[in-house]
Amino acid sequence: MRDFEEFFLTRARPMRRTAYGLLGDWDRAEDLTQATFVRLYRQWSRLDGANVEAYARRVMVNLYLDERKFAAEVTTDAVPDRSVAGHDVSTRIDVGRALAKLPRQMRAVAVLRFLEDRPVAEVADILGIAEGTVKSHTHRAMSALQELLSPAAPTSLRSPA
Amino acid sequence: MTHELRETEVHDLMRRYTTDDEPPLRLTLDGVRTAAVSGEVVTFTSDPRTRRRWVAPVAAAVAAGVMVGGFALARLAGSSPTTTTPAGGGSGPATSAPTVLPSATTGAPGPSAGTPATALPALLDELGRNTFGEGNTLVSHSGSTWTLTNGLPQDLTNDELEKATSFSSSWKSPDGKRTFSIEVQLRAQDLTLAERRSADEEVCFNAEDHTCSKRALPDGWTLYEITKGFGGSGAPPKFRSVNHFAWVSNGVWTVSAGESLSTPNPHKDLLSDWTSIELDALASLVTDPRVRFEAPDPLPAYPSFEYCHSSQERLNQKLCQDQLG
Repeated sequence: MRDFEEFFLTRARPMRRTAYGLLGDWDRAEDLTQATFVRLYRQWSRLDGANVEAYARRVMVNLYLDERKFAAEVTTDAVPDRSVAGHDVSTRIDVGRALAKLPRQMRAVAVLRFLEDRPVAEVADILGIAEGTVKSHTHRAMSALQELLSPAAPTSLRSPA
Repeated sequence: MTHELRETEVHDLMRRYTTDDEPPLRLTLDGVRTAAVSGEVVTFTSDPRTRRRWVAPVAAAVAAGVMVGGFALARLAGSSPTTTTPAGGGSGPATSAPTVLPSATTGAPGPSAGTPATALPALLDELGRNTFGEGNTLVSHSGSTWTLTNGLPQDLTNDELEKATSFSSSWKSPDGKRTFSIEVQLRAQDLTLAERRSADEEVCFNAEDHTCSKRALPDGWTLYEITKGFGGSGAPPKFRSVNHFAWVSNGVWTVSAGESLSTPNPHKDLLSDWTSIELDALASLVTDPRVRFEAPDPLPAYPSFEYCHSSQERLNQKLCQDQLG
């Protein structure tokens, strides 16, 4: 189990960020991260050096998609629970709002593609869907984010004239 | 003027969304371990933090059962184990009655076949040296039982090996980069009923780069050859390893043997020029009837995976699904 300890210490925070991308709430992200690591711990001996990183993502996303506990949509009110000086909180609100409007599977695709930077094939494998579906979800997620974020896109993110 | 979002911008937005206001991590390694073993899950969504029981006995027993099962949990052709109802009218996952293994209807060895348990470590050592070479260093021999202590299976001392339900041995190559291993275990009586995955999916588990083939053997045995490559995240990945195993089962026994190689060279092709043991040698080892051992008589009670399917409680079912995939 020494490897598990190392995996936890290095991956807990990044995985919680993924969970936050899926849920938009840090407390529930912590719950989802915990549920994921608990399951990983119980199955660790079976993983046998397997691609734990991808497997962990699969576990987390499946829990997010399947588990009633995590099924309730989070309203965007929960997103910016405190402001941080020097950061564009309104943009974060918009991102949270945009993500919350995506269907759950599409949101998972958006998080895996845009936050995790996972390739299409891996996202398809994690979600158990066709690569074409991942591509269409990606496109639609981009369109939705475009629609919701463009009017408020911060100056620093605008395309050069 | 409409701003056309580019993917790089979305990446940046998402990164900032998940990092700009990130609170400290409250989840701890000990918390995960406790939750995994005892079923006590810390709920972070309530404040102040509270602990609640999550059907602890179920979690512990199922977790332990999976650990006993090891990585070789697959449904295989020809296996049709009999089942018993869990003690206590299905209120718990553990059986109190002695476990009964399926009869050898397909010509498979029965539980009493094979080498005396006390002699198995020496036999595995001999087979390991013959198959993997003389120059390797024995890392461990272990015999364990699926009888749980504090919710976990336990390793046995040499004086207790007659109680064993599984054995494993492993060796390291002289340069320390290659690990060889043999594992043999009895299967749970009703495990097959609770498995959701096909054997192919389970044995040929998700890997970045793998080959997996199977072939039916006489008397209901199925032999798998698995070659997997794994890599860490990042470019180049921090680590890479490859595994090559022969895995065989007849529904009563599972036996696996193979090698794992960790290579620090991220540019090396994972699957070429690294296998040192041919499949024929591994297959010969795992199908050697001497590798099966004399099972404890009577067999100890086993956490009942049938319980997972008979339970009407969604939470319990979920726990089982979590464990069994």
